Amino acid sequence: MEFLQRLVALVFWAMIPGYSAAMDQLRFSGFASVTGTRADHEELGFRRDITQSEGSVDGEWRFDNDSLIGMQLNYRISDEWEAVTQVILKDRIHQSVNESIEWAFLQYRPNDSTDIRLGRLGLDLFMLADYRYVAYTYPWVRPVPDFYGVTPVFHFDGADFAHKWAIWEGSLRLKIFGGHSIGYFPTDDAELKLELSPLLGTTLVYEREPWRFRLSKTIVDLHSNHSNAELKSGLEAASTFWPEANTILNELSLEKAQVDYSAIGAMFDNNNWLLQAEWARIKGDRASTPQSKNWYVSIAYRWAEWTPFLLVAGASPDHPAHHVSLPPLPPQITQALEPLRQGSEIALNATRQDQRGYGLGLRWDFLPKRALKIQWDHWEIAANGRLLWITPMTGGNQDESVNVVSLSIDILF
Amino acid sequence: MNKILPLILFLLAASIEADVVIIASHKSEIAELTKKAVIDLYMGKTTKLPNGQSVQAIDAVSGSDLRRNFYKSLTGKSEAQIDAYWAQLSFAGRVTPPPQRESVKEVMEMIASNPDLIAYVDSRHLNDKVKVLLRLK
Repeated sequence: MEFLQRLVALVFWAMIPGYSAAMDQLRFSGFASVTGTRADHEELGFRRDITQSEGSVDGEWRFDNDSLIGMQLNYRISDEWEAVTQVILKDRIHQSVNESIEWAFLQYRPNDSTDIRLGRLGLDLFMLADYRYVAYTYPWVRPVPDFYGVTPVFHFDGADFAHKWAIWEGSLRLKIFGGHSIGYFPTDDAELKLELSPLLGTTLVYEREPWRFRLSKTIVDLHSNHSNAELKSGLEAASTFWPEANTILNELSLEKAQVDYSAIGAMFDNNNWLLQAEWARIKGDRASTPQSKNWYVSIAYRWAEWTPFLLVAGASPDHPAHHVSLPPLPPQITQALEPLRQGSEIALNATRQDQRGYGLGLRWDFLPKRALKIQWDHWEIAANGRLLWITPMTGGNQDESVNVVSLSIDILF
Repeated sequence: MNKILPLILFLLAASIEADVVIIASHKSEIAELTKKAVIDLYMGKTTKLPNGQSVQAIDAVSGSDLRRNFYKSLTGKSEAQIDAYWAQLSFAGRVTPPPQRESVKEVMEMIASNPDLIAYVDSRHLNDKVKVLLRLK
């Protein structure tokens, strides 16, 4: 792991002086988005993904959820070897140079069908995995939050191997990857540092114009010593006369929690119609990890420079909401334990997602490499299913609905 | 009018005949390319000719009529789609797009002197130092 960290740093820094040294083998490119978002709910804040702790509430316009700039340097060392580094500047809860390095890897490509990469790599969980930040490449303002919002692990340090076969008049590409990753997530009191190690996965993509099909499976072990200290000590103290408290403690722990992510996707693009759908199943062995099915279906039509689109998406939990009850105890104790009971219930349901979203929008390619987009979304969010939203501390037990308007300009350079 | 009409017809014909042609050096071993081979080379699917020789494809500059017409007749895609396609591949760190050259004169000179390159130009610019591998209508 130390070695990988050093390799990432080496690839990243080595490419800066390389810029002036060899213009021919070096390519600089980038992308950017400026996006304004306005959500109309009084309490629930809109976010692009669950790493974000702030978002539009109550009709306020915000620009920090989706605006970003990305820069990439490719250095072609020889016909077979290439070094690539990509940096993304955006609002993050944990700002550091290390976090901003999206990729920094060495690629070995002995022929057109095989490549091996080592360093910091994109995590290939789903269709948009490699370009989810490059909004110019898709019709919407942002990757559908119902599907993409819950898995904000963007890259990992490790290796991958891919091979491509020409088959059935198309191409079949198999990739296997492994490594480890660190992510930061907001919690009520602080930030949670989550380590994903080991992280192992495989993807299979079949492409034949105008179709693309995709299957993937990833298994990771999560590690974090984070816990809500107050809740934890309360449950530990209560466990002598409330045996269930131990079970709850275990359910809330993130130490060595296992998550299994499987996804299927399909895309159809005949230059006019652009249809895309993905479905994923997240299995976790504790209440501290998401356990859900996430999906979306998108339909878009290209009409010269105009691309109107429609979206339907959803996330549904695998299990009904947790209800915590206390054993028969003297009334004073029951009363004293009530905040602990409530706190446990909220914590156990915090990773639940239960929502349905509808969107419509328009993309306008007004200049080469410049697109303007407007999008309106409506979400229905069920009680105890609010993981994808920024929620007030008290938690919530009613169904809610939110409307979100977004305007953005996406560019490539 | 009788004298002008043939002239107009001639000019019209000349402008219609200005196809986009895919070219290589006259020294190149390859005689012609299929449309599929050209698509594979320009869409980053291969860097090799059907005979196994490695080649580098040269692109026209973004926003030019030449580039727009080339991709439209080759793949049916608009320039915005082509740029989005390449953004997907290149920002995934997988393949880099063909380098762009603005000047036709420079392209013709590069192609004439280096048999490992291919490019596309307007057929009006053809000379005897290059050969046509495929003509796009």
